[in-house]
Amino acid sequence: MIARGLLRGNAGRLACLRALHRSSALSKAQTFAMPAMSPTMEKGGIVEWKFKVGDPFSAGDVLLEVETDKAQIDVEAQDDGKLAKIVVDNGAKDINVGEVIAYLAEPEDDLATLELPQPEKSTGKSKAETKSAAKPSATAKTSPASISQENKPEPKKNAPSKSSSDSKSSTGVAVKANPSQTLLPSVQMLLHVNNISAEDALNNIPASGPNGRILKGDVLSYLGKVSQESVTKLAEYIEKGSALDLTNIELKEPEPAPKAKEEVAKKEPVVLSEQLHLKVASGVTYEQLARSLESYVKEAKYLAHEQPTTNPYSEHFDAVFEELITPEPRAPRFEVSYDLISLGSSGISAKQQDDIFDLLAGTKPSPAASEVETAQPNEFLVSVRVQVSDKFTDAPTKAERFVQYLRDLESSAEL
Amino acid sequence: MLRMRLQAGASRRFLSGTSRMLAEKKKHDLVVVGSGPGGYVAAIKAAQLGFDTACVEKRGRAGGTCLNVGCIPSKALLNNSHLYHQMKHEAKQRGIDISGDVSVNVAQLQKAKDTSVKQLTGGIEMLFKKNGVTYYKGHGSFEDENNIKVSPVEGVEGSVTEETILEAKNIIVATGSEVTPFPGIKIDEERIVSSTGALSLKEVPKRLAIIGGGIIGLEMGSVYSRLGSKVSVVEFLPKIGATMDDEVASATQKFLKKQGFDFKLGTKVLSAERNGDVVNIEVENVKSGKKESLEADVLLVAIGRRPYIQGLNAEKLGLEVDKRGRLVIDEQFNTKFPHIKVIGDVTFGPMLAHKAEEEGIAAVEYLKEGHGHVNYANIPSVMYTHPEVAWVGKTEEQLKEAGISYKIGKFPFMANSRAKTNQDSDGFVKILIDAETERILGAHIIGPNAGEMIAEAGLALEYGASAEDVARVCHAHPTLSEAFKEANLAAYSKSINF
Ligand SMILES: Cc1cc2nc3c(=O)[nH]c(=O)nc-3n(C[C@H](O)[C@H](O)[C@H](O)COP(=O)(O)OP(=O)(O)OC[C@H]3O[C@@H](n4cnc5c(N)ncnc54)[C@H](O)[C@@H]3O)c2cc1C
Repeated sequence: MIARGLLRGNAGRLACLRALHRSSALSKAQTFAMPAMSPTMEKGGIVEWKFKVGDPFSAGDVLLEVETDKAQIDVEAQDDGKLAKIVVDNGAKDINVGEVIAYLAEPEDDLATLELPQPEKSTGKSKAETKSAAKPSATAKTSPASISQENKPEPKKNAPSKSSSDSKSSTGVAVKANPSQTLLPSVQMLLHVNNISAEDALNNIPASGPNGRILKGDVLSYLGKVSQESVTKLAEYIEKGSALDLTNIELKEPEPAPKAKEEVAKKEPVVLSEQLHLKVASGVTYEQLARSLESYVKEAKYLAHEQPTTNPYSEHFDAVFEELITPEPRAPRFEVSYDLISLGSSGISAKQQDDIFDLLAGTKPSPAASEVETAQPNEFLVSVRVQVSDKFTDAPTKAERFVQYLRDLESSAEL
Repeated sequence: MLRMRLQAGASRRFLSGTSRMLAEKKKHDLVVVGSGPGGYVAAIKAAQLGFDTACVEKRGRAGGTCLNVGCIPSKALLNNSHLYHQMKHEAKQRGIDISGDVSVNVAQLQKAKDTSVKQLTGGIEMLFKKNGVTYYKGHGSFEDENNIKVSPVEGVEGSVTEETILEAKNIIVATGSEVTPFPGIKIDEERIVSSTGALSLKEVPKRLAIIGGGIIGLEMGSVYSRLGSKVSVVEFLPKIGATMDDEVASATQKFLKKQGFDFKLGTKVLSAERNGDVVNIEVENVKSGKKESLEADVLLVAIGRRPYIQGLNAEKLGLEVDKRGRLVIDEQFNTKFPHIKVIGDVTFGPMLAHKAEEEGIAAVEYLKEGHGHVNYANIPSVMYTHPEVAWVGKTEEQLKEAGISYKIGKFPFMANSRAKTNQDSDGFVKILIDAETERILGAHIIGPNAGEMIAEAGLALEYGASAEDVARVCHAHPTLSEAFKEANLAAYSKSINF
């Protein structure tokens, strides 16, 4: 039976899941709970059961129609079987996700002798049941049925997204525990200490581990010792790392055709020009400013060249590699020339400051400044020309970055 | 099955139609290009699942980088150089008197290595025969999306003698990677070597300089440091060990320094030139800009590996290539042609042999079942230095970045009875767990046998275990693995022996 199920090519994975969910005692009926049709669904209604008790159905048949506040959805059987008992009838509304709505049997089971799981179990523990069922993330996968999936072969490109959403329900955020698991030692211990039977745990504790495994964190969350949110967050974080990051792939640029090169050479050289208006403290001389400006320009030029042009925080970033693929990494991307022009009167040097930001910061009125004849700070104009190299694709970015460094200077002067 | 039927009807477009007329033509369900850990595993698995499978390899000997010039030969040299080092420096104190000198016989050391390589690569050809994989020795290239041309390769024993066309319903590209060259530095594999040259040096260099403090650089450095070389490592980044947890990386650096390594971190190489029997290297400190000149007898360039698709015609066929030369795939290893899949070093993900193998299995399972699985969150890394370094899962830095609050359990081998008895107790086990749920998020081991021990961490991660789950498992005494258990105990409670 299980073997036959596994042979179903495109539903292979679902078949595996189903096999795992099968309870070991085959003569027992399986509970069939209200499935969660979306991560946010909490309650649903039963529009119509499509089969009568005792009538056999096959995998892929629509078992029933469920309605949520958003839509009506077909629920498909994933395996052959028959309805052993319908617990919640047509037309019922507001049934919690996870609540038992029917019992299912194997096609060959004799309904007369079939053992239904104790009804008290689900009602007796109803407190815990509703608690877990009300959780938005708890999907009910008790039975061989799931949300209807179109059976026509999908185009290959769409398949990945389907399989990834599939695996989310098996490894990701809390699902109904896999009933055939061996409990982890930490889980056994916690259950024992808190007087929870293994059976109850498997029925009631949503599992966030791979393939419906109940983890220590799940029990802690069930006991209210850690929040369900941290369990979910962690499971999502781990799930995220389990696939290759294939986002933001930067394709190789096509090799430039030899013709293009000549065209580039003929193009007018790109020149960026920028006028900066600097105000400095009155005590600062032209020479002082010129000296510190010179070293600032030098540093800005170095930094503009040094920083990679691709995002260094991307997972694909590798400093060594960037350096390697950069043609002539140490060749200059642009040339700078500038004139420093004094606009106001120059005073006598008051302080020996060389860092340009100190000079600029000196614009705040200071006692020394007010003693000089004009309280006006010195004003200078810096006229910059940046000739951008046409040999490198990263040159415009780097040149623009350099200009930005200079603008920083101006804006800091205005502070 | 459905997919294959669709492909049989797919239209065929030839890129070139010249020599094809003369070529011999064969048909296969699946043709795998490359016989490295990715390719050979895929080929065997596919044959086991009933595909008529062929594998094409231009090197002749199967096994790819890993078996021929990578994992296997490096580990052979690491093991024997470690034995030598122990005999030379520890025998006496351990109570073993050796009359006469303990010395290295490089030729024999290389021979021992070659024997292992031959046995293992030959083993793959045996496995091909046993499983019914047809093995073509020759250069493979895309003739079009359904035909692979195998061309003879000179000097390769058993190479196809004439061009052969393999018509394939499915193709898996597993052409691996090659050494990344350093711009401006010419590798002659004699004085300026790549890892391949470093694996077969004929003598022990007095001074070995290494560009790159990653795993390969440090492993090869260890081999020659043990054999007597003075090793200096120049690394561009401010830390060694690539993706290692920072704390482990700095511990590793400390241990290697004690063994005589010299490290220049945050330093970039400006140029290197061979002058007769020496190599002159110019380096510059990244921060201070201070330049320095180094001289070495051998320079190893080990700055990484890059995807290899030379001569494959992949781009001509229209397969996408990213900026770093990787063939672009989707989650099912598919290229833009759904019947052409790509695995291993030549595509995305860590360049590791076991990662390539996992992908080989998964890619074939996709072909057969429509589903396969590789858990990329659980791929261990091992550096076979001494002490060994092994890790799996998240590092502290990654957890910090993701804003996950975590707890650390650490246990030093100093406090492990087996490590103590072996007088080999450098290092520690470090376990990172989620602060609330106590689920294990990462394991970082530096110490004896770390590479074997990491398997236990992998198992724990795969099952979503908490630290307590490991700590409650009975570990044999006295074993090194008790340190792993104790570190887990320390993570959620308190260790007993420390
Ligand atoms: C020194 C060194 C040490 C390493 N140590 C380790 C280690 O300890 N652990 C680990 O996990 N990894 C290690 N690696 C990395 C490991 O070797 C690679 O990750 C692994 O080999 C990748 O497997 P692959 O199948 O993708 O490609 P490869 O092993 O590179 O195999 C690709 C094969 O394809 C063949 N090929 C390429 N193009 C064609 C073509 N057109 N036609 C026919 N054949 C072609 C090549 O000849 C090659 O044999 C090491 C690497 C090096 C260099």
